[in-house]
Amino acid sequence: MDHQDNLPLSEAVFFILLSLAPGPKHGYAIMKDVEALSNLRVSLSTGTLYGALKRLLDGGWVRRVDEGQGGSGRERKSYALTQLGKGTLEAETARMQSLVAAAQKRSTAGGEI
Amino acid sequence: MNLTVDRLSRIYALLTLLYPYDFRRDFASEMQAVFQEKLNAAKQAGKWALWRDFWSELHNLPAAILTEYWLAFRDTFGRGIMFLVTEDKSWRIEGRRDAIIASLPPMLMGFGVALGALVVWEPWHTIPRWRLLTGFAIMMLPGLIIGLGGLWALIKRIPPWSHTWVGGAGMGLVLFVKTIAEERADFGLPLVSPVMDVVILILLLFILSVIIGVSAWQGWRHAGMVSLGFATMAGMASFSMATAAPFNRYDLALLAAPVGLVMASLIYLFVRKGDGGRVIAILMYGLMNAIVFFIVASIWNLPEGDPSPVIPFLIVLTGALLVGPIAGLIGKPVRRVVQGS
Repeated sequence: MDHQDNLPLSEAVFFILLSLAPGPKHGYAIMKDVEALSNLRVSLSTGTLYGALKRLLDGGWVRRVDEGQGGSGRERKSYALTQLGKGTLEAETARMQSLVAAAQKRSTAGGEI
Repeated sequence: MNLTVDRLSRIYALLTLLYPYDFRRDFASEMQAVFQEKLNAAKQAGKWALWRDFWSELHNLPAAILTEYWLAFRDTFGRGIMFLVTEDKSWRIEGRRDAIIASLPPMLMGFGVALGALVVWEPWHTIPRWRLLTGFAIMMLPGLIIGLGGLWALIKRIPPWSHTWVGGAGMGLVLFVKTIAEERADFGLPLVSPVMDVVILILLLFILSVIIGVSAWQGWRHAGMVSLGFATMAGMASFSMATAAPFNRYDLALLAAPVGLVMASLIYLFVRKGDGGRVIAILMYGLMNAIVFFIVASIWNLPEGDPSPVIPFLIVLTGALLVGPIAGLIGKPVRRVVQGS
């Protein structure tokens, strides 16, 4: 599948994928990481996070990783990027880089942006 | 403070029950754990932070839940309406006795109207009062039986044979109220009072909606039976109209008996045969109701320029016939989303 077909990503999805890029994380860790990555600008509610995760699981961009029982005694699940998810994240990053590069080029040429 | 976290977590756990079945099966437990973790972290920052996070979750929840319902519904529908139509092809009312009971309402109504017409036969002011009352009672009796049968079916939680009865009872009640309202309107009187009339109208619409909603939950075939019950009463009402003064066409009302028999056969076909037979039964029912109504409407000598009631009535008849199957087609996927397969 061409990763370009899935672009652009919503901000929430981009940050979730970015959060999972270093390795698997469970739900709460993703939430905190997204807040940190976005300088507290994006704050995901539990419902929004799991809605997005469902779509990412359905699309095969992330997969579930069992982590055993958490502190609450409940079975804890983590999420990891799949190859498709990694490819999409890279494609989106490249797309945004090209946008920024275009803007910078105009800026350095003395134009207003 | 822990008590507050526990209570808020319990409230959240209850709220996650509002998600579609598949979603809550896959994620509810995890979401509850994450929510609790979030609150535990927030409580370190103080009571206000705790409530702020709780409010933030609550604020986002309706949109998140509605989104999941919409996506789940779209996915279920995405598999195609034909899948829903053709699934569970084996459905039918198994017992022949139950199938016959399901088919009885039009037969009862048809014979009641025809027999009542035979007893009265002449304009009401030219015959003895006892004959008029007897004929009227014979015409009304099947409606009463269907009404009681529908009530009995509701008490028995709508067994498979009863959907036509429940539909007939619901529409019968509406037509009964409409007739009384029209009679009173002739004297410039409301049914009860202007405000109460609106309440009664809303109540009747509510009853019909509940009947359709409950049967639609079971699928389009059950809701289709309810629709046939609706259409039976609406169609038979046409014959009763022919007997009203000044038309006094009791000969036309005799047709109610054979029409009732054909309608009963169509219901039998609907509950015993495959989906093809069901579609044919619905089409035939609609066609027959339309023909009957055209015949009855042909005797009305409306003053020049008065709007014809034919088109509005045909729309009502068609609507009554289609509302069940359509609601059933929507209801089954909704049920899958809410309860799972």
